[in-house]
Amino acid sequence: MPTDSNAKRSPASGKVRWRRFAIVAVPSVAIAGALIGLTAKGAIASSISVSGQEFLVTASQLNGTGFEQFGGEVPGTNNSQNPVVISAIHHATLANLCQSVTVGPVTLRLTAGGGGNLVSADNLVVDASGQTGSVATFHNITIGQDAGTLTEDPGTAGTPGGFGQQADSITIDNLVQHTWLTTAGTFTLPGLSIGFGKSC
Amino acid sequence: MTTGEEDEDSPEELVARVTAPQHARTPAWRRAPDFRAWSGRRAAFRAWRHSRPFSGGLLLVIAGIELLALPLSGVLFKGALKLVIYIAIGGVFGVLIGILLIAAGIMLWINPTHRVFYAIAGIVLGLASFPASNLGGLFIAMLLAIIGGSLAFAWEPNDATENADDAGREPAAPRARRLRVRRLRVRRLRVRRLRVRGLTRGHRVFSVAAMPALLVAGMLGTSAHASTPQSGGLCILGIICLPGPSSSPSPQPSPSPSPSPSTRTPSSPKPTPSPACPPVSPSPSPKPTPTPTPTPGPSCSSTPAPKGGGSPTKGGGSSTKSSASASPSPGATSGSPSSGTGGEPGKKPAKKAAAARQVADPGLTAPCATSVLDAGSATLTDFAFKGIVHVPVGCGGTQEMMEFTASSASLAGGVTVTVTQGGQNTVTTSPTLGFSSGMTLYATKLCGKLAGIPLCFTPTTVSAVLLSTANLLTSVLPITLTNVVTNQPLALAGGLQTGPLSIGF
Repeated sequence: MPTDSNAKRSPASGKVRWRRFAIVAVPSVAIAGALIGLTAKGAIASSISVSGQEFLVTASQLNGTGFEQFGGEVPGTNNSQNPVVISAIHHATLANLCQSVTVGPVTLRLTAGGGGNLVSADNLVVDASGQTGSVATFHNITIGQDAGTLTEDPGTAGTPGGFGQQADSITIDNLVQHTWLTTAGTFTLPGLSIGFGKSC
Repeated sequence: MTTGEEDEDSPEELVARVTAPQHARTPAWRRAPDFRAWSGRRAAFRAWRHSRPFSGGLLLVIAGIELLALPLSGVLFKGALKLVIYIAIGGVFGVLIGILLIAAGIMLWINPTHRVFYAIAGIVLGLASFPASNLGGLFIAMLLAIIGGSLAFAWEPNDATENADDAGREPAAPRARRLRVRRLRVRRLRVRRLRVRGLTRGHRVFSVAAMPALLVAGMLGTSAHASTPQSGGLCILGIICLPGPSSSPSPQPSPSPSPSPSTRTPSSPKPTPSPACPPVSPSPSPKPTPTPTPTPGPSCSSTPAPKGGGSPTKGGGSSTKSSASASPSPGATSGSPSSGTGGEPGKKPAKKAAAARQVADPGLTAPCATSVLDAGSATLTDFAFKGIVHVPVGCGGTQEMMEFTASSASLAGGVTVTVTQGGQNTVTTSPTLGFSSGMTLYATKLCGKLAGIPLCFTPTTVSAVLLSTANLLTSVLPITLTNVVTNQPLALAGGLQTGPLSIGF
């Protein structure tokens, strides 16, 4: 018998060979580490799409082109509908992005885009229950456009009849959002770090 | 059962083999579980569990569920399909990888024979989920998939491994009495043949382990290209793409001077939350009615404008534009909004009809949701009343709105935009709002105080003659309105600068 543990086996079962495990697990973890490292350098874009849990997003500055904003609802806990402000940005760059979500006693915190390496996101859609910023600048803005006819971010529009606004470009300083759902086609996260700690 | 057929069986195993029923000698995952042989359900489950790479499959299933839960929890719990539209391609990858991980985990249980394939597939899917889906479900799903896949890869049934391990080393005299043994012999022969070619089992394992590395390397090479088509619009897997709306409204600020002060009615009627347009047919009186008309909602005209406002001519009607009156209407004091228009239906003045144009900008559509803009003060440069326009409304029909222009407008004193939609108030506040580079404002009602005198204008109370006089005034110097209330504001501006901005409910 090749190994000493054979004596304990029951005849009809199998077991895990830990050498085989290591042979596969070690290179896989190495690849995963390389992926994480490349993402942290901003070499690989990630796709982000989270919902169902309110989390906090802050950024020292957001620059975007193709901005739309309109009202909507996301399903919340115990059958309620949470009203949200849906912001869609065709292409956005964010400085000092910080996302944190608190689940029970644990707060998961993700930061990226510090030190001049901006986070960039395409087709960013954020459903927020609240949003603040210190200064916002819009170019070619239309306020009070029907939400169903917004055109700045192709493919995204609200419910016809709803109140909406859009702008060619937008800059928001010190953005703070309480977000229910974030999606982005691509998210480039230079300087990525994920850990547990305080919320943003 | 006579004796162990392999000489190197340990004593315990020999005993087990002797006492075990005949069918126990075949690997358990190759036969149906015999629940009668076990006392309880737990024991039966344990037997089932031990006879296949259970833990590896379980971890893969958990990883898949976690990947699915992140983008889809809103959809799964409430069936809000609308969210799927926003999730678009990024979420689709997450969903796809999650489903495949669950499938790989389940297949590990019901088909352990092909466990190596499912295990490698699980590892590769876990690695692929890192760039494709929420950083591998915030690392959790990726790690679970790697560990689970490795566990499943490393799992081997005892009988099979024994023989595989022994095969090359010490061929015991095989007995040809049983089918299984015959099969084993074939396997051993195959292994010997492989050894002749120098490909040992260790090499095979390493070559298998290299597969995920190669696949990921290929994946990285293509990820840059794969990400590009996402920016085009709403695409599902890069195949099904929905074209976005074609035309974009181009705000055309036409700064021309003229004042249109309006009366202040603090108790402006509460906007109705219902998005439906009441079929009101406003019958405006030609002279400025001193009583402000309460227009609770968007006053959609029941008759849609001819040709639906598709090709509105912006400058066409401006020659006949009515002009604003700065005259304080005595009856329009605060707190007495009376419906002055409802009394005389059907009398549509000709002057007004001529002034009413289709739409200002193509593609401009007013919302049905009621909205009110309040500001403590508004300083307007080159303010002008351009006339009455019919603006299409998102819920159908058109709406009569006043059109004002200004080269710049500075709102201060706590600017609040309240939108009532579906019974819910969305409040946007900013201490200041600075419109620049030309601004156009459409509104169903504009109220404020000019030098302390309350003024209020609606499309029915706007007087062309008076407003034109006022246009002369306001072209000279900027005017400042205080206590500004604007109903159904639709504003276009080349630039907008806000103060500390807050959006909430």
